[in-house]
Amino acid sequence: MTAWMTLWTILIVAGGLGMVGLLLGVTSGAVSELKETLAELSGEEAGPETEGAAQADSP
Amino acid sequence: MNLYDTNFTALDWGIVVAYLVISIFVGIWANKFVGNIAGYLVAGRTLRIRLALATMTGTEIGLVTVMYSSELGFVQQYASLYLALYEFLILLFVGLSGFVVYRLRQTNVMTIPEYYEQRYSRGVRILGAVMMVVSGVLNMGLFLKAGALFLVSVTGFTEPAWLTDFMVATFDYHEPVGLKLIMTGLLLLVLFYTVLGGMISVVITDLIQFVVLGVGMVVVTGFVVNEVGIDGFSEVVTQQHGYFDPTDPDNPSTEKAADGIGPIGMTAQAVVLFVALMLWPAGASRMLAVKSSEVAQQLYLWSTIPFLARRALPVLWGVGAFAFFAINVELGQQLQAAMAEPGSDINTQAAMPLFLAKIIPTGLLGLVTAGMIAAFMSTHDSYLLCWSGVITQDIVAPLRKVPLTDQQRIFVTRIAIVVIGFALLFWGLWYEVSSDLWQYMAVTGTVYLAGVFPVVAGGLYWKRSSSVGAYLALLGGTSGILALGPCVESVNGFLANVGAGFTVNDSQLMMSAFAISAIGFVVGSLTFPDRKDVA
Repeated sequence: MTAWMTLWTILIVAGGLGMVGLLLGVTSGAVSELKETLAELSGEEAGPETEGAAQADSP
Repeated sequence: MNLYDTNFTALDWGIVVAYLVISIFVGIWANKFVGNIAGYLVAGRTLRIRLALATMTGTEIGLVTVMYSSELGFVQQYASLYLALYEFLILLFVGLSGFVVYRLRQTNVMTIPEYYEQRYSRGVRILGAVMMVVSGVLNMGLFLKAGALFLVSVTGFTEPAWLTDFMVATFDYHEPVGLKLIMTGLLLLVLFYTVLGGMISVVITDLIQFVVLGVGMVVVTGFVVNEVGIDGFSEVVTQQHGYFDPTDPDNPSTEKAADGIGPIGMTAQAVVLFVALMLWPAGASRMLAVKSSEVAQQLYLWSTIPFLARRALPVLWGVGAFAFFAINVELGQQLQAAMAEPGSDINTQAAMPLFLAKIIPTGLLGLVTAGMIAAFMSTHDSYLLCWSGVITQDIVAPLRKVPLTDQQRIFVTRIAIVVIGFALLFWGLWYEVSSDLWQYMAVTGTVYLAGVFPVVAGGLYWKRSSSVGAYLALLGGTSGILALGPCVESVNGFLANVGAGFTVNDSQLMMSAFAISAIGFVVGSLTFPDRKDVA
């Protein structure tokens, strides 16, 4: 196997394992973060009506 | 076996339809969270790292990504994986260093053109927004066609005779319309829930789509590896003259000479990807929607994983299709004949879905197709929202003397979504791509990317950056249009007429556009500094 094929094999295996890891590691946390996001948006008072309002929300 | 044989049955259609219905209800439900324009465009800037990562993955693994990556896998086999390597290394660099993205998020802008006004002037903002929308809409131009081609190939859809008869009798129209009708249907579906819910519905559906798509990709990869086998993948190189060394300018799997990647192609793609991964508006809008600069930087670091997967796995499917059609000689001949047929919708993009339609069993094929439609929608909705948001915030609003209210902004954004949608449909129906899909996207992206990098990076890191420099850089990006297939032919025709004695290719023209913009920016900034710098 050439150096190129070794590199490509590593990339493909890493891509596959990475996707599985991402699904296992991110999904449940993302769902709870979505709930928090929706709760924040539901509780938000109607702000001023221009983009300056959006900037005021930012950290 | 016939080329269009498929395992896709009524059960699979049922799964796909159920998925689409759920997506529509999510769009309607999300509408109740839309209060103001920040909520509509950047979800109120409330996204944390896991949710941002899931939705970024949903956006960035589009069906079009899967189609162009697998097409490259089919045409250039393993050599095309150099793009996966590039993306991994670039994201790692940005994630570790925070280059550009950290400072850009600190500015608290909602869109990149908004930064142009903050740093330069209102005129730069409007010009930058126009360039961004033109490039973005051109770039999206073939998404619908690629999505429809996937569906047609995987489902084995054939146009019913009554429809052909109806089109001939009513409109005297003799070309196939099945693909066009599927394109229209897909567009209407995405328009429906994007118009309703904005970024909030995009985030929710992206999360669902992330799961469906991620599972789908893993399942497909398992079936592809099982079908072709490790030996089959090795034989692509050892027996079928597969292409694996991207520095070689000749692709040994084809008879044509010098049709490979080579050092010039590799350099051009490195430049395009470096800028695109930081500043492509759809990805940048997700970065601008996160809670803080630290989260923005983390987002890029963690994105190395899905970005590697989005390239590497579909390339493997494309290589699998290459091996499958090489081993099944009769099917391979049918595919070549279908691609060569005049007016045929079948091209190298269709190889992967035609392959999957034969190896994935009924039921699972429906889930995989739902996953791919998820991929199609998650990219389309984010892109539509991004470009329409730019039209509202950075073109319409700055041109008005009286400020728009939030409700007016949301209304204008929704109108823009619909207008862009139909522009895409028209372009997708009309334009015949003369290169592979990825090259088309890289070229159209260059129109925006060539200008945005000096303007944003210069603005963030170089005190002497000026508005005149920014104008020149943005306008320089328009030279990227010359790298589109028909324009390259015109340029070479011109060079032959003037007796230049050499020709140019699309990669060289892409790099020229980046060079023109960068030089214009530096020269313009040094020659015409902004007044505040002079003082």
